[in-house]
Amino acid sequence: MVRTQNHTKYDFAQAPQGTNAIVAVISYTGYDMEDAMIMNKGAYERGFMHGCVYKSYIRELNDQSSGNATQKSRFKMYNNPETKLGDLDLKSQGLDADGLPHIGKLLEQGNPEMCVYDKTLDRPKFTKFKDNESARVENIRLMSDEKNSANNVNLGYTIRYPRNPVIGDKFSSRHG
Amino acid sequence: MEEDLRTDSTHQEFDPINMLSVIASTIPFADYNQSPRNMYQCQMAKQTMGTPYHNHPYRMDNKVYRILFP
Repeated sequence: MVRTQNHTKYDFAQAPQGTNAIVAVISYTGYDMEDAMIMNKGAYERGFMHGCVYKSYIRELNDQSSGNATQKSRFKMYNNPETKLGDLDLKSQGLDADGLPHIGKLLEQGNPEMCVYDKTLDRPKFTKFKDNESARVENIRLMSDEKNSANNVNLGYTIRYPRNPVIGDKFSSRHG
Repeated sequence: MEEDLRTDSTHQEFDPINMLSVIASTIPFADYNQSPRNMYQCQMAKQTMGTPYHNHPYRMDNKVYRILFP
């Protein structure tokens, strides 16, 4: 609503350093209202002062630290022709045909975040999302591991937790 | 542009806004503030982590905070 020349020049809408808001100061009863504010509900629900937390972690397809060659190539991703689907319906588990959730998928506690084929036992292996706070999939990358092993894939997950303003949060002005 | 060139100096400022730093120039209505308020705000803006980088899709940081703009 209000922007300075440099807000536009440095494109602070794309790389925000904060949000300008209209603030009203009240003195209705004279009770001390220091360090408190009332936020507009409509603005809050439209994303005012919203932020997010991204967490990244790696899931390894095959553990390369120990075992023989068979154990080191025991698991395969479902987009590999060596795998057998059987009566497994990945879609009903909320996963794509490769056994991974799609980008933007809401992960809740207990949801599968990865499904791979176990060659030794001839059955699928599910990895569950363990956090009790739900998050959405921002990105999943398929990467080689540090040793560039032929039978391994590192799956780099980035997940996004929404962070709305809550009671107790502190806000600073642009005016000190 | 041409008519803005002066002959009585060797150097010239592009714009009067360059009197202020990047951070100071993001204060709305700074000219209506008491001057210490602008100084406090510049100190606070330095402590914030608004947008930490520009290459978000290519990064694998363990934990990142990002603020959004409505």
